[in-house]
Formats: sequence, C-alpha cells, structure tokens
Amino acid sequence: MRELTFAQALNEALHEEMDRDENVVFYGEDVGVYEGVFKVSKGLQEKFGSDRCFDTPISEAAIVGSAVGASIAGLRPVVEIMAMDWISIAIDALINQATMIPHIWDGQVKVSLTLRTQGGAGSGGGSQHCKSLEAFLYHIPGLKLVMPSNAYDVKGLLKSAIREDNPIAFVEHKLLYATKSMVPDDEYTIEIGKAEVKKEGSDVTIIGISKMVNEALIAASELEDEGISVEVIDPRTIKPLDMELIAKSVSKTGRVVIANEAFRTGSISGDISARIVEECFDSLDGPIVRVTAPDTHVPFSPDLEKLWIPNKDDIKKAIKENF
Amino acid sequence: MLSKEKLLDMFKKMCLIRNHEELVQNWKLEGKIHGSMHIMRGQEAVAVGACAALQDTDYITSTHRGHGHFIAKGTDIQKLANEMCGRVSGYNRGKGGHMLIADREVFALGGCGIVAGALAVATGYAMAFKLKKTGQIALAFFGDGATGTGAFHETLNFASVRQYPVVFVCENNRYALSCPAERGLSNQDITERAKSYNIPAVKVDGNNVLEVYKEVKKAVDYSRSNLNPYFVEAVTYRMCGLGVGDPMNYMPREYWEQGETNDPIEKMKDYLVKNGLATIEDIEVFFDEAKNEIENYYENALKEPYPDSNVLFENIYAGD
Repeated sequence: MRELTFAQALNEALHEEMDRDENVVFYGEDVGVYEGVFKVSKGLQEKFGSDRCFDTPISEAAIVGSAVGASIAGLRPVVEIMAMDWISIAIDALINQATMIPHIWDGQVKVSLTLRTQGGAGSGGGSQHCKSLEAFLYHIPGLKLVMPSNAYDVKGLLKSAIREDNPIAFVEHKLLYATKSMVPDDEYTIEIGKAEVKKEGSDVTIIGISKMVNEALIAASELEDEGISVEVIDPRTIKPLDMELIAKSVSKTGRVVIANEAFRTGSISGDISARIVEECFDSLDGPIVRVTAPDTHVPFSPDLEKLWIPNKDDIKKAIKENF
Repeated sequence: MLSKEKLLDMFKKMCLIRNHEELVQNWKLEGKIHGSMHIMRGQEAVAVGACAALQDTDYITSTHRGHGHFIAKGTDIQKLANEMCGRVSGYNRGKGGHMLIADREVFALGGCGIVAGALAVATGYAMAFKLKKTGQIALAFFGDGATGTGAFHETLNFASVRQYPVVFVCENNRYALSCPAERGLSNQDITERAKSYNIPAVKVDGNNVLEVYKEVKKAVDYSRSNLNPYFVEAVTYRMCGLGVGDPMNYMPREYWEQGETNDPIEKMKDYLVKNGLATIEDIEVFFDEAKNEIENYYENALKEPYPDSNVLFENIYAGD
C-alpha cells in the first residue's frame, strides 16, 4: 500500500488498462502533450503513442460521437470532456447515439465507452467551469453513472468501467484530484453498481455523492462528539444504484439525509429520495432531508461561491433541525 | 470499367429502391404502414453508386432518409420491411422503425434520425479501422441540411486533423426540410466548404449513377490507401416531400421539372440501352420484377407478429 492522490490513481488505472488491452485509447482536449489539466494522463502519450492517447480539437460533439463509432468497431475508448459544463455539447452523442444504439439496434453492437468528466465548484472557475450536471447524465436510459469520492475507489472503478461493454459516465469532482488515500500496490478492480458504508452508525444515514461523502464523514465525526451516531454511505455508482445497501442502512437508522452538490430541482438527490420512499417507506421515521446547492447559477465571488456550495455544516444543521 | 453483371445489378437496385419508396409512400397515405416516413425518391443513384464503390466489409452510416442506403449495401429487404412495419422479425425486432435500421451483417450501421448525428460515429469507425489496420473505410451519407450543424463542422475538422479513412457523401438535394439552400446556406458550394477543411472534395451529378460510382470509387481508394478523409458532393433532387404527406408547396415548379428531366433511373436506362447491355423490354421486366418483389416483402411483413413486451426491456445494457 502507498498513498496516492486521486489524480495519480486515475493515471495508474489508465496506464494499467492501456497496457493490458491495446484497444483502449484515451483522447480529449489537452490530454496528450499537455498530459491533462489535472495531469491525469501523465506519461500516457509518451508510452502509448499519439494514435492511442491524443489531443483533440475543442469539439465535444466529435469527441463523444467518434468514441461511439470507435467502440462499435472494436476499440475501448476513454474520452474526456474537460469540464462537465460543456457536456451539453456532447449530450446528443450520449442520448441519441451511445445509449440508444445498443437498445434500439437491439444488441447488434456494443458500445464500450467511458466518458470521464469533472465538475464541482470551489476553485473560482465561475459559472461555466464548475457545475455539477450529473442529473443530465443520470436521466439517460442505458448510461451508467459512476461518481467516486477517493483515490482507492476511483482507480478500481475506472478499471472496471473501461472493461465494461456499456457506455459509462465517470464524473470526478475537481477538488478531489489532490486528495490522498491508500492504494494497494497490486492490481484490483471495484464492481460497478456496489455502494459502500464508509462509516457505520445507528441514528441517521447520510448518502453522500462524490465529494459530499467527505463532507458527510467530517460532519459525522463532529456529530459523534455530540452523541449522534451517523452512518455514511457512498453509492460510488449512482446508476445503477445499490438500493439493497441503502435499504439495509435505512432499516437500521430510519432517518436519511442525501447530500449532493448540484442544483436542487431535478437533482439526483430527489430521485434517490423518491426511491427510498417507494422501496423503504416502512423503515422511515421521518422525512428524507436533502442537502444540495440552491437553484441558482454558480457565482464567482469567493464568499458567494462558498455560500452556494453545500458543506459539512449544512449537513450538521440539516440533521439537528430535522431529527 | 464495370462488368455488365455489375451494371445490371446496380440498375436493379435502383429499381428496387424506387419501388420501395413508392410503396412506402402509397402505404403511408393509405394508412397501411405506421409512423412518420421519409423517403428518398429521386436520390437512388447516390445510394447505389456510392455503395457499389465499397468493399463488403466497409461500414456505412445512413440518415433519416436512408432506406435506399440499406438496399444498396445489400441488406435483406424482407427484414428491412419487417422492421419498417414494426415486426419482431425486423432488424431491430421492431424497436427502430424506419429511421433507425441497422444491419450488422452488411455493416450498414446504421440509420440516424438526428441530422448529422452519425458523421462523428462514422469517423469513429474510421479511427478504429486505422488503429487496428483492418483496411476498411467508413462512408457517411448525409444531406445538405446537415452542413448547417455544428456536428458537421466538428467532424470534418476532426477527421481531417486526425487523418481517418472516412468518405463523406453529401446528398445535396438543396432542401433542408422545407428550407431551400439559398435561404439556408451562406455558401451553397458545399464542395468548396469541404475543401476548406483541407479535405479533397469533388462535386458530381448525383443523378448519374455511373458518375457517382466513379467519383466515390476514387474517394474510397484514396481514403483506404492514404488513411485520410475525402468528400463527395452529389447534387440530386428530392422527388418527394420532407415526409410523406408533405404538400411540397414550397418547391418551385422548375425544381420538380429538372428532377424529372434528370431522373436517375431514366438516365441509367438510356445508358444500358445505348450500350447494348439491355433492351427496353428487359428494362421493363427488371422494373416490374422489382415492383413485385417489394410488394411481396411488404405483404409478407404484415403477416409477421409484433414484438412481445419483453423486447422493450432487452439490450438496455449489454447482456440484458
């Protein structure tokens, strides 16, 4: 075991998978010579050549659209949309090609495509470089959605995503890239679709998404000192969602907080909440509470940006006020 | 030059497409076929000329107006008809319908109802062919309307800088839905626009199947050996509405007259007769046989069962 950053773990996963399978290619804006804005593609072009790891023009529709064709014709493309805010340009390729083709062409071909992108506020990127638009992706039938919260998980999950015969959106929060965790020396993968209990507790369940898992863990630790026992669940894969593990936790605690840094209306937190009501109603001892960003665009000015981002204090407040 | 056998095969395919499109139009108007229908009557020579220039294992992508591309590529017309009629024995077990047909067997992958939506997909096919050194190329059909999209610009630029073996075939019928090129394109010379991406490009009479074949063959050979894109603009006439039922009151009379004067089937017929490859009587037989063949496929299709409900939930994810 050694300590790696989230970005280093992603880089290792890409190196290992490109080494293992010559059909794996990785392309997007700035990922070749520049080695990625967050250095996730460090050493890849040097090692695997510019046919397999390359810079593209600023053409999000062509990046994702071509990856659909490349995967049907036998490659396993990993593509990067540098900022999730620009996924809007590529969404046609996801909803009308990548996911429609396997279903509507009725399994004649497979689309093994991993789309990596990063979102999240907190670095002063301004409103077009920091949104969390995962709900757009979550809505698309046939698209799996993975949102890991730490270096260990991200490595194992990216390796699994690359090996899947399905289109997968892999969403990273930009403030996670520098975070560190212990990562084994030996190869490992993590199954897509499996959540994990990051901390056990008995009074309330917090379901955190991406970076909000870490906020939830801090909140949990602080609440522990006040005598509230908090269980923190990291779904890791948002779609398909591991409802089994969530239901088990809810049956123990009876109370749920969902923390999701995204616009509140139409967010994933709302859908998870609905599923808990539908599937675990008898376990609930009170309303499900959501901690989200407000329904405003993301401001630039530091204090306003801080106000916009949900954090551990918002989680603590939600728990104390409601339970 | 092409053998007599190949020339007659191309002509027969054009007759099949013409009859197919006319049957679909009639059946739609009579209420015998369900859903929206876009036909390509008048554009048969582009589909047939282009596909005749391909090797069997080359991929094509099609459009919302693409039945003829599939017939030209050699698809099983019975399975095509079954899909058009929403039957379980269709290519996609009825899930695709007329715009979203795909046929893995002949590498017609596939129909696309989003204008310009398949251009990048075709370029991705070409990327894989180049990396895997398979010797295949991809050919993307699309219309002049597609050249108004961002995806068109992105894809041509991307294919050019990355040097992928994809042949872009623009069926320029000069109508984007109901909007004529003079109101929709700032530069109506699409060939010139393609050249601006540093892609070799040529304009061809899209109603002359032999001209289409000749130019697309050059394009395909170039693309295959140089691993680079190539662009062919085939100027043609859409002798039908944007969809079946469209009154076409926006089309000037001259457009329709020019389309009739330049009918691709008449042109090829003249060529075959003049060169002693077929008699007028032979031609009539080909056309009637094609008509009967298409009618049989569609009468058969109506007897096929519709899909069961389980079909809806299959292949959402691989292995489902």
